[in-house]
Amino acid sequence: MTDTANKTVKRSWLRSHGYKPKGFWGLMWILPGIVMLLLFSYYPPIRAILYSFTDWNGESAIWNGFSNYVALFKDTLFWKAFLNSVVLTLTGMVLGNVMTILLAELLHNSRFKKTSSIFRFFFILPCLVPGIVTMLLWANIIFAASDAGLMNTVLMKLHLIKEPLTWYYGTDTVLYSLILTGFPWVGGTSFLIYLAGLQNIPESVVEAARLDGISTFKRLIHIDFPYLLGQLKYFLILGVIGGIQNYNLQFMITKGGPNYSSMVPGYYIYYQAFNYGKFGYACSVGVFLFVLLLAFTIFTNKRMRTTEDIQ
Amino acid sequence: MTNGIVLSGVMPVIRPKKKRMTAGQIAVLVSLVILLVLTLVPIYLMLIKSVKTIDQGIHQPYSITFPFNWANYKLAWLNVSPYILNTVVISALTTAFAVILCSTMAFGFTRFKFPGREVVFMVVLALTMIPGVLTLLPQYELINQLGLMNNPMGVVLPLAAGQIPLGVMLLRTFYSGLPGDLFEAAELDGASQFYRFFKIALPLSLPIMATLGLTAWMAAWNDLILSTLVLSWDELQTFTVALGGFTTDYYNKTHSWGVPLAGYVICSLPLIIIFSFTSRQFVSGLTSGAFKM
Repeated sequence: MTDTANKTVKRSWLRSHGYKPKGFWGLMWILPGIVMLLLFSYYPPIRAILYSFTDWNGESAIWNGFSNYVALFKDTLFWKAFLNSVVLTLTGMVLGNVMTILLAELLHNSRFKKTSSIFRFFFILPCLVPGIVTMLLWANIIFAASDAGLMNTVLMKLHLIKEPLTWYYGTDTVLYSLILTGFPWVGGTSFLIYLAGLQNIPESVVEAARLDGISTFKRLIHIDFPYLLGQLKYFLILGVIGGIQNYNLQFMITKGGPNYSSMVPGYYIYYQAFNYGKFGYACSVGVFLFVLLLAFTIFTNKRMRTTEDIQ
Repeated sequence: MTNGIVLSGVMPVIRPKKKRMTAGQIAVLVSLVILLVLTLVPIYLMLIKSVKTIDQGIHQPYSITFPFNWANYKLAWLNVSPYILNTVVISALTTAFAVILCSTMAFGFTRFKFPGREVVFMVVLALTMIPGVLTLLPQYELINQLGLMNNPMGVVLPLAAGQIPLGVMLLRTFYSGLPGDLFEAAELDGASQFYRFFKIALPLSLPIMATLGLTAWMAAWNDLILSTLVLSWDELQTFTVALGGFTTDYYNKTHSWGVPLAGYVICSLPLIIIFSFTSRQFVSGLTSGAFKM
């Protein structure tokens, strides 16, 4: 008795405050997710922005205005890290996308349809191996700095080098090694997205080109490439956002060294916070990257829309 | 097909293309094989070196050697299995949380009207713009304040929350595609909203849930930095955290890669097995980000 009475009271209260019962239940359905997001996804970045104006050391924080940002702009080590990251991101993006488009073209033009699913399986395989395993294989076996490392053995057999190369452990070689890690950069699922793009080219366009006797190279430039622009933009945006933040190899192998020559901003945050307790300063690095990536995303989205309008 | 017949009637020149194709086709096939061999070098090394004795490892480091020394796997299993079990627990919990939170949220966003629904949805989607490097330190502090240090939930909850924005978008798109009549008819029949969720929405969305679940599983399976920060007790560590140390320790003691690499193979197998059973969901999960563009 009292139960139903309570329910009607509750419902009428909600109704009088503008909630239809349906609306109330809608909010109830999204509530668990919203609570999780507020706690773990909204609170931390807001906190990080606030902390970037303090001297937070992990325990206490005192407001110190813009001094973190002033220090950041004068910090030559940070700018070195930033430059490294730009170099790694750009080279990685160019090499990765060129090789992946090449693979997609090869698969698309292969007439052996029976083998294509086998090829797909084996090209996807590398991304199923945990990233940590792949990194350890490159660091300990392929690019091992001793004369027993795979690349050193091969290069010495070919008499291209006399002394084993230092790879990840030399100031001159570490950036090249990071770029070359993962060669030939096609393993994973990106090639499937390019392949889908190629398969979406209308049959009539392909047929017309063939009747015109267009060369393979011209077809690539004038037909395939324009049809892949959407996918390319997607990978460029993702590549910049992911690349500027990425510090897995630094975290696992180089520790930003030797002599900071492989330092990147992502690892610089970790390094400043957990080595020196400069949590507040590290947060200002994070905010800087956030603003930069946000500007980049807005800019490219605007550009994308205008180019689409022109077309 | 019909196109081809009509055209070949007009232009018989097209016929001999078959012969020219074979030379080109061989070039395509050879290039594919070369790319594949280069791509699989790390996996090849992992497999062949995982069955080498110390002696074989020193004298023939890069070729296949017989007999295979399976004892490496036994030893590796003893060392690696507790960490794999920890990773499995964390991945399973992350997947469960992500799937439950995303599906209830997407159901609320699709089947109910409430003030500010679209705004809330956009605000949730906007989270994809927040880079992980910005959130890392306060998230670490938060986990500490919640008393979740050295607790698997300290890794599970942030990882599951990270899956929500894209997961909700994926599921909302799917639920919107379901015929509304289905839900309205059930409602008229007096079915409760829970019935509509569990008996209509969930069963129909199983494939997309599998996609979402696999994405969450992969994120947890490969997580390195959060696990390193939160789980410092050895008995809680995931294999991503423990594998590096185990490799170095073992190599320094024995100068052999056999056992660590056998451990790598063991850590790689679960995902490869899941993949061979659910390759369709897997591929759509791994490429699902692309559909939003």
